[in-house]
Amino acid sequence: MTHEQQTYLAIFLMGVVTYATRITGPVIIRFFPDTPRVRAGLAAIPGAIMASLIAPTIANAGTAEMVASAVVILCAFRKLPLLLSIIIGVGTLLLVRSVAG
Amino acid sequence: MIPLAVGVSSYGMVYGMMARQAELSLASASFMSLWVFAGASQLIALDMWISPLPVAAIVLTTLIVNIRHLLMGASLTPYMQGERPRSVLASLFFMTDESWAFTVKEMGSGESRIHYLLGSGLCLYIMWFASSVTGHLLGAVIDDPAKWGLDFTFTAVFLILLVGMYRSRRDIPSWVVAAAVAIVTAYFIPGKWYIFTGGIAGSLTGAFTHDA
Repeated sequence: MTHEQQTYLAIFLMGVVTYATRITGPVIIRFFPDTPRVRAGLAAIPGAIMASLIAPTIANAGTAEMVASAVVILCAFRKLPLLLSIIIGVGTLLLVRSVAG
Repeated sequence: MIPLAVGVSSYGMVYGMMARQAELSLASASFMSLWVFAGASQLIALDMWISPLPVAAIVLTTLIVNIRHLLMGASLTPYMQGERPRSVLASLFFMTDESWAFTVKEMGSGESRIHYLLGSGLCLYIMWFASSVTGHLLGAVIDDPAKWGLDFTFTAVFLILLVGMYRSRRDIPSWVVAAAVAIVTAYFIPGKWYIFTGGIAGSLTGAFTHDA
């Protein structure tokens, strides 16, 4: 098999397994009984994933990210529009970075 | 959506650029973006792109990196009731961290159509492909995303979405556990495992702290 063929084979299989991960979740859930406790566990997933997504980055962040994150959380609590909060957050980040050197 | 699209685009350009460096042709780099559509796994795969190509290792790594989709898809199950299987399967193709997060946010405000996945996902899909191509064509002539604070964009978006998800104090235990497990996992295990372990831990916490 040429390198070219191997390349396309690898990419094809990557796509297959990736799509499999996308559609299997709902299938696996069927093996669980529909109880309030299972529903609570399911409902907790979005927040858990969101928290997991950002936790390591924030934990390892520098001062600029910490300050910007705090500002973003504040904006979110104030229910500012998403885009505005992002702009304020990124702006804060750049500001602190330039000040802190 | 716009901040997510901007973040995805800069990410896509990095991918396109690195694909070129890994000696993928524009055709194969584009094929990957169109067929796999999963940024993290694509970038990690590029890291393994040597000759001869370790196909099995690359595919296995891709599977592991993308396993968090299992949890994400599972969490959307309640909103699939009554939808035609075919449209659900089509929508799920476009599920990414970003389109999933966007969909979850919309569901929270009362909308119960899983097709938000399709709409937001399709938009990101186009941006992902376009930026992959752009990155590949631009080669090494590209700005460091960190220069513009774009690296922070993802964190900011997810932070805002997280705050938006807050309903009551009952949410806190599962979030704290998830974050803690994620941090520990990220410290010891490379890759994106931390999202999966944190998600599971938070889910279990939510289930166990539920007063049935």
